[in-house]
Amino acid sequence: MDRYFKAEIKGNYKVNPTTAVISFSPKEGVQLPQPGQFYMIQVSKGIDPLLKRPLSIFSIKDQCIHLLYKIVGRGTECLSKLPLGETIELIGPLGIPYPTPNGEFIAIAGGTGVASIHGLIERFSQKAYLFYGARSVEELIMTDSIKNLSYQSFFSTDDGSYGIKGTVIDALDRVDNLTMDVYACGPHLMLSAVINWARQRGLRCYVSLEEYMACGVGACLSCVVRTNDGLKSVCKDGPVFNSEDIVW
Amino acid sequence: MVNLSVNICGITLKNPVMTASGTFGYGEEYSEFVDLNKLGAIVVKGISLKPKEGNPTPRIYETPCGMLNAIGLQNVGVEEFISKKLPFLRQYDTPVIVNFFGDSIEEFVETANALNNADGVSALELNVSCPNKAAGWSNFGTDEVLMSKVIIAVRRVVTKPLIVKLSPNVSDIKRMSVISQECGADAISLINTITGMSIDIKKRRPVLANNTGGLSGPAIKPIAVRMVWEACQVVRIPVIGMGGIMTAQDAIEFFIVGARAVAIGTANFVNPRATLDVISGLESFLINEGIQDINSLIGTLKLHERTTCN
Repeated sequence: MDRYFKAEIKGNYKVNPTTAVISFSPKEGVQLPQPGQFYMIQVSKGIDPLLKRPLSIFSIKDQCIHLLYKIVGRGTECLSKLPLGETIELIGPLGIPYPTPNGEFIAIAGGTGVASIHGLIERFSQKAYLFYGARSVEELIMTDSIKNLSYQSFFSTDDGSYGIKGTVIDALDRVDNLTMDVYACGPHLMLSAVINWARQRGLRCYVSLEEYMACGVGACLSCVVRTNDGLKSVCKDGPVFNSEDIVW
Repeated sequence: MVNLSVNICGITLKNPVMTASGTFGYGEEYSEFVDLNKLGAIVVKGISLKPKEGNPTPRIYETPCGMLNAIGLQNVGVEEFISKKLPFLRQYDTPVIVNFFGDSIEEFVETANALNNADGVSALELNVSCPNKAAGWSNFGTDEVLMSKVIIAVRRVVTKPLIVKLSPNVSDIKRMSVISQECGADAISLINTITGMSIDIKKRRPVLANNTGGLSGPAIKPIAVRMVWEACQVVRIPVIGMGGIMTAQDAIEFFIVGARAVAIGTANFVNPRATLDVISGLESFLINEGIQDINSLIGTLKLHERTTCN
C-alpha cells in the first residue's frame, strides 16, 4: 500500500464561482478513503506554490474520488486551472474518518464544510437529518443532490436567500426530537455553536476541524489543536474529533 | 558502482543525505513512505528537557517558493523521547542524530547529558538557532559570547559527536563557524531558517500567531549555499549543508561548495520521498559525470577570477 501516488485528473470544474470539484481515479492497491478523510494534493508543477493542499473527500462515485475545494488563494487558484488529463501527486487518504453512524444521525455543514459532510451522507444515504448553512444562496452547492441523499434536509442562509434566514443553529432549533449523534464540519464559530447545542442536549458530537498544514502526516506539527489529552495534530489524530475531547 | 558513503566526525554514513530536524518528526511519521535504512542519517525533531507545547496556531504560512513556520519547538521531552521514540529508531541501521535545545545553559547541559547516555543516539545536534523562541533565547545563536558558553558547557558532558546548528540570522557566518569549532564542535550544520514575517493586509496583523517565523524552502537556497561556502572556507570540521534543497541538483551545489553531507527539510512535506529521490539523483549524477566517489566532488568549487569592469 502506498499513499503517495500520482493520478490523472478526470474532472476539475466549478460548482459555483468560488468552489470547485477535482476528480481522479484511485490507484490500484491504494486503500479507498472513508468519509471524513482527506488528501494532500499538488497544486502546481513547479515549486511555487510549494506545498500540497489538504482537501476533503466530497464523493466517491463512478470509480472516481472527488475532492471539493474553495478557491481562496494562489494555491487553490492554481489548482482550479489544472487541465483534465494532467498527472498530479497526491498523499492519502489521510486522517481519522467519521465513525460509522448508528442508524440515523444529524449532519451539519457550514460553507465549504459541506465537502466532508457530503461524503458522509453519500456513504450513509437516507440516514441523515442534514442541516446546511451558508452566507447566501450563491454559496450553497448541490442542494438537489444533498436533498436526495438526506432523510430530511434543512437549509439556512444568513441573508435568507435560501431556506430559513439565520444560522444552522436557528434551523436546528426549529426541528423537534433531534436526539441522534451529531456530525459537523464548518467554520470555527459554527462548530463552537454546534458543540454547545449538542452538549446542552447531551448528544454525542463529532466535528471535523480545519487548520493550515504542510505535511499531512503528523510531522510538521503545524495543525495542532488542544485536547483533554494535550496537543493533537488535526492531520493525523483528526481531522474528526469527539467534540468533548477538544479544548477550545 | 559509485561510492556515496561519507564520514562525519567518526560516523560513517551510507550516503550523505540526512533529514533536517523538525521536518521528519521522529522518523516513524515517514516510515510508511521511506525505507529509513536507506537514509544517511535521521535527524529528529528538537528535544528539550521537559515536553514543550510550542506556539499557538496559525503556525505556518506559505510564501513564494517557501514557507514560514513558528512551531515553537513542540516536542515530547527527552524522557519520553528516549523511552517511546528511540526504540522505534533503533530497529534501523541508520545513525540517529538528536537535535536538542534548552531555555538555559543548565537545561542544554542536562538534556545533552541524557541523550549522550542514551543507547541508539549516534550524535547530538546542538540547536542554538531556532528563530521562534522568546527574544532572549535566540541570542544563543546570534550572540557569540552566549553561543560560546553553551557550546563549551555542552561539550564538557558530551562524549558523542557534537554538531552545532548555526543560525543564518547573523552578519558574519564565518565568525560563528570558527567560534563553534574553537569551542569544541565536531561538525557544524547550517542553515536554520531565516527570520521572516507575513502580514494579513485586511486585518493589518501578522499571519502567524507568533508574529514572526522561520523562512524555509527553495526561496532560501541561494543564501544557504553562500553561507555554507563561507563556513567551509574557515573551518576544518565537517559542514552539513541545508536550506531549500528539493532535488539532487540542489544538493550537489552544497557538495561543490564544501558540504560533507546535506539535509533535506521542507521538501519532505512536499514529497515524502524527497530524501530517496535526492540519493538516487546523486548516484546518477556521479555516474554521468564519471565521478567514482562523492568525496571527490566535495569542495571542488572553481571561483571566477575577480576582475574589475574598467
